[in-house]
Amino acid sequence: MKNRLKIERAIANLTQADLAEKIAVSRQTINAIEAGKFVPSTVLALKISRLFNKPVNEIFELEDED
Amino acid sequence: MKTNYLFPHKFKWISGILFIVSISIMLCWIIEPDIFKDIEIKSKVFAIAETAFMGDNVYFGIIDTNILDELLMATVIISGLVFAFSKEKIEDEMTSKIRLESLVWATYANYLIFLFCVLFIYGMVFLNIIMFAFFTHLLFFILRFNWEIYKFNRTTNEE
Repeated sequence: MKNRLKIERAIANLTQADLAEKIAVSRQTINAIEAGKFVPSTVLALKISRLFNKPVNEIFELEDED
Repeated sequence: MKTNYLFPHKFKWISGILFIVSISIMLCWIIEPDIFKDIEIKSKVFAIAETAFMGDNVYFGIIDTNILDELLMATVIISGLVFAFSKEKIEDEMTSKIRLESLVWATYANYLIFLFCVLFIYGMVFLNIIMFAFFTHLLFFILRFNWEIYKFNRTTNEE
């Protein structure tokens, strides 16, 4: 799964730590999601979607191997 | 949704210290049982069953015994469980994932080593192996989980 988290975060001018605090996870977790090492749960994806006010599909995208 | 069977984070350090101290004593004791032969805490305790080397077996009765090993083992088990399954400072789905993976890893490691011992270790020393195997599952999990969490927490900042 690909994601545009880093880009969305840059647009919103948030650091990893800011975003982490807003959705109640650790900064390292945000780092792992951005690096593609961790696929967030639906709840977390929806929290991110609500925060950036964009549909989940615009932030997270399936890849061919998924 | 919120149930995760974990203890609060504040228990982690106190149980960690207790666990490290008690399991060290425990492992020394398994290897060299004589080190505690002069220390006895005699007490009358309730026993569901006691099979005696000499004399009669006791079922559902009161027996007189040295409870040092019971106390030590209880400390290892309770502090080990609390230490192993305390929440992290920031508990989220990533720490849950690391916990699950470490548990799988520790289970494989423990039983593969045990299998190896079953096949290649014979005689009285095998009883020690059984004693070890009882604690090493928890020990392997604790080592693996805390190592992975340590590595995870060190992942570099920002881009």
